[in-house]
Amino acid sequence: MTDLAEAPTVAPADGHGHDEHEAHPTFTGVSNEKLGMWMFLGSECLLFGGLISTYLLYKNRPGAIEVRDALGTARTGSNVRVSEAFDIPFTSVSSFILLASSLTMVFAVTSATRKETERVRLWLGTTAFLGAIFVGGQVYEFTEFYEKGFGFTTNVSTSAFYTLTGFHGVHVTVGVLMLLFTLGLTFRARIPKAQSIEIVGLYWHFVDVVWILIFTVIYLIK
Amino acid sequence: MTTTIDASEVHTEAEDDSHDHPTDATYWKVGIFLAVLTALEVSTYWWPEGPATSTALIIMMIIKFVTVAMYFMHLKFDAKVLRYAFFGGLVLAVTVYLAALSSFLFWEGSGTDGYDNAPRAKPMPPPPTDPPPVFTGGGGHSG
Repeated sequence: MTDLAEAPTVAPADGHGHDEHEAHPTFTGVSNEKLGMWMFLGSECLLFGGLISTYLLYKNRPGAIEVRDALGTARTGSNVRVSEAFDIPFTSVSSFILLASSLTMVFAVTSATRKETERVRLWLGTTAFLGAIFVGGQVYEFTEFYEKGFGFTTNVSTSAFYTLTGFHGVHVTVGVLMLLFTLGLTFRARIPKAQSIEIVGLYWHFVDVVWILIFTVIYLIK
Repeated sequence: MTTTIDASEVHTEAEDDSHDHPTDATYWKVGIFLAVLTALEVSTYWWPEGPATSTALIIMMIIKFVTVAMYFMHLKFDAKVLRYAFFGGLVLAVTVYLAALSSFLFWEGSGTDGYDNAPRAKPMPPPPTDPPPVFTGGGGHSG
């Protein structure tokens, strides 16, 4: 006979212990961690939307706002446009690399769902590697631009460009660190929950979709 | 005695919305589709400039964005509340930013004083030409 005085416990269908549960059911039907990540990504949409809008506003009027040199003398910003320095073939390769990293991230998540530890490590490592290549490419690109005379304070257009792409680069760097941290966890006693990897994956895919916007709006549309 | 419920009997809204998870083959197909679309985007750099090229680029960008969000970010297979929250917020944000940008595009050169020119300062009162009268203290006192 069932003792109703005791609270029922939920046994996982796969027979594993409590620690290996996926998230508990919630009011919204979505785990709090996942909902929190989506809300964070929503706020990130606003951040990048503002940065992209700012660049669009100033891309064709680089000398619109006066700048001050080291001595504090005000002068009109240079009229050069940072788009003159774009190297589309190079940036295209970077875009392909970031896109490929999204695919490898998906495989990391599906492997985690199937509890295939070795494959999780492989795909997480590959994703982090591809992300690191992208960041390296961006550093190289910035260096090239700077040597061509496009500094952060050259004019308002270059400021908006570096702020936008720099913020994105920082996000990719943070994503790489998150991936490496998650990869490190897989070498501990037990593999992280599949949902943890999925949440890291959400962040990574978001970074990818932001680059889809930046690549088209900033680099390709003239 | 502890009552045990099998987890397979516990249903949530998320699970009810989660059906037909894609296979690896599907992900490969999506990845190849995105790569082809990206190659097409890159090729437009050598197309003649014009509104047609820009429109094609924006359409391809939207397709790529939605594809990544729906498949890679799992919105197609996840709880609908996430889809509504993400795309609803996105549409709202894009509308607001487009409205803000359009104001710069359409109002410039419109002759609107408040936009094209700096707001006019209120005219200062003219400086007094005559010195103020000086009280000499000659009258009004008695005794």
